[in-house]
Amino acid sequence: MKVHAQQSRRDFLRLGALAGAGSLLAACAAVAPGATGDDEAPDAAATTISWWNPDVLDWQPAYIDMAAAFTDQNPDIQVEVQDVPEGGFAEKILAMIAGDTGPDVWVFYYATDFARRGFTEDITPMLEADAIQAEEMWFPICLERATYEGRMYSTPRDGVWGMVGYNASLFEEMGVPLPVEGWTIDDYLAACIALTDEELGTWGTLISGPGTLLWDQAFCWNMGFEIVSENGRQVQGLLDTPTSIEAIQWVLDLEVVHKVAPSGAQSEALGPFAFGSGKVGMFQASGWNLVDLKEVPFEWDMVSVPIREGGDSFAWGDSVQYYMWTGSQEKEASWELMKYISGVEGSQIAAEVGAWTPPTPQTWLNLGWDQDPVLSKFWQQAQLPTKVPNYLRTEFHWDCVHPQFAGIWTRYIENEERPLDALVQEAAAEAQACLDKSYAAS
Amino acid sequence: MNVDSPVTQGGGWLSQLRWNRRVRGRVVSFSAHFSMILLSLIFLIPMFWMLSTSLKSRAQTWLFPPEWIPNPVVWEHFPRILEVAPVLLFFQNTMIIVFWNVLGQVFSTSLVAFGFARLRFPGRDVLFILLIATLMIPYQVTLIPTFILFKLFGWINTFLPLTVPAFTGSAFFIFLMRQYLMSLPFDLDDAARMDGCNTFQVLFFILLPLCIPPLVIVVVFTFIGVWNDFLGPLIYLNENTKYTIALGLNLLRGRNRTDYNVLMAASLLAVLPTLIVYFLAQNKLIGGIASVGLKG
Repeated sequence: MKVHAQQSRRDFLRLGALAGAGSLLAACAAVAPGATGDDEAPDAAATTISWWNPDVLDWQPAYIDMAAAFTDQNPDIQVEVQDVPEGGFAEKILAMIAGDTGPDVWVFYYATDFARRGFTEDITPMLEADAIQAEEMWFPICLERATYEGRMYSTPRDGVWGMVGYNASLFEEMGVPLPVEGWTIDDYLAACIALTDEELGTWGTLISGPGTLLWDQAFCWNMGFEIVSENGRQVQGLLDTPTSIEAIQWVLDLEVVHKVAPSGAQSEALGPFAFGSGKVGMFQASGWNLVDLKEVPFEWDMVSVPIREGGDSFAWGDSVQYYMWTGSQEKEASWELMKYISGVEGSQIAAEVGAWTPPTPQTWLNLGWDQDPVLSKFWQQAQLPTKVPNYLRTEFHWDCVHPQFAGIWTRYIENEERPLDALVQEAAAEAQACLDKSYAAS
Repeated sequence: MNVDSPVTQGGGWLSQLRWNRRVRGRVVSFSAHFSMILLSLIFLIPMFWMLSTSLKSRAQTWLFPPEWIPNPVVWEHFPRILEVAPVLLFFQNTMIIVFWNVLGQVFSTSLVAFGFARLRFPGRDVLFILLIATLMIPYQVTLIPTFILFKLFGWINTFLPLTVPAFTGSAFFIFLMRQYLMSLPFDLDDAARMDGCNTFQVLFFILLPLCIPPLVIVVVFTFIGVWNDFLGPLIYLNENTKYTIALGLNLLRGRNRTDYNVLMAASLLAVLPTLIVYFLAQNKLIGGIASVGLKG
């Protein structure tokens, strides 16, 4: 009986192993590469490069058209466009790079970490070899995300400027004069107060919170203060000056005293695109909102960010970028692609598809967008003086500065901590300590 | 006058007691049903919002206060899903991956759990503790090493990294099955062996038919887990033609732009299979959860 049991166990293990191996083979056979797709064999003589992007399906025609136009001009280079969900794009890129199978070229927002770790190619020599003057080819503000320690690691995909978008129908309904260029922050506050009506459920503005000063940088600069020094190493002496504290107090009062701006939760309750609800007077508009703005059921327009009485007017701009992987086996072909899609001709294709506003001034002129009733407003922003956004000044912004800066709002509004100057000074000191430590360790 | 009333029945304390019990029972039953219907309505609100949004125009979606009933009803988002993405292919790919995962999990979980529960061999308990300890390792920790391993196998951009690991078992399901198998009397094994069954036959002909509740849990949880899995397919698949439904839905979402109407229409279609599986397995699933003491 004992012998029988031992044999059975062995039989059992053998059978288990056999069945497992069989199942694995079956699984392999069923899902072997190409089993589900109708893959076309690329031209054997052509170089093939991969080009990944994290954008929505609506924007894919722009990439596909650009790739097709590029291949028409460069028949020996095939481009495989691949869209990857934005929610896991960075994780995917990192995993692929770790596995030494990264894409040749990709689209994304941030490069500092990737550049520091050596994942993105330094394209400065390529620009020099082709005698491309970056500041002439692209709007200077579009190069900020490309630059790390004085070298260029990417080329711009688009050029985007932030403005105050306003619901003209609501302004007229409430008898509020429409904003005009050169308006002041006092005009802005007066409009917010006049547009807010608890009974009607209307709010003056969505431009409140840390985003007002952090994201819509023009508010910050127009009100005369900075968060981080240009070299990205100093917060104390900038964020905690009397001018800065006064500006922060002004923004906080929009929500706390004047109650003209919804809280975060109230804003979310207004739906996925709060400005589209028709219940909000103003919001931060950019080229990325144009597709949605075309469908809102009311009249709208845009105006520059208000200034202090007698102050200067600045513009805030930003740009998504094209990066090349340092491990790419096809760097020459990748560079040719980057030059094309970032250049006048390539970016015009995306602009004509209606995806994004181009980073090249020449494309704007070619399309006549400098005269367009809506788009010319962005063009005018591009002509205004600007500064490097605070969040691009230091690679440790998201670790050191942002949490402290946003924390001021949490402590003041939710925790009702006072006085503000103490909160700001604490935040500045914490941010500074974190920056010092991070730079010392880097 | 109600013919069942105690007065018409001639009174008496026993009748009164029965009457009171009946009334109390109905009140309790009504209250319970009312509460459950109310709760179910609350849980159904997101589903209803999804359905409602999928049938609205974009401008209607943004209205505040929201309009729950679409007016007019816009059907175009459903055909539009097929225009913007190969959704049917996403479904097909997901079904292939789900099928092999369910098969693999049921097979491997049964085998391994049987070994831990019914066979005696040196180091069994140590191995089991090691297995359970793997539950404490987050998926993210093993992501890159596993990716590199599968890359060496040449499995990137195939379904293999998403299906083959299922044939090596899941610590959680093995634990679940082992606990259930341990609750079955060993007399069954002895009787089967006396009738000539070998170990393999004991498992597949005697014990597994008694393990339907935990097996249903394995099937349903695997189905739902794989159907909704985002990270695995994201990391291993590099072509739209191989994408799963979870990846496909995320292609509709962007930082600067999301078409909520199409997204909700696609989400509605995406949840249907999991709902169907749940309703088909509902009785067994609840019974299984109760029998293995699993909840939450």
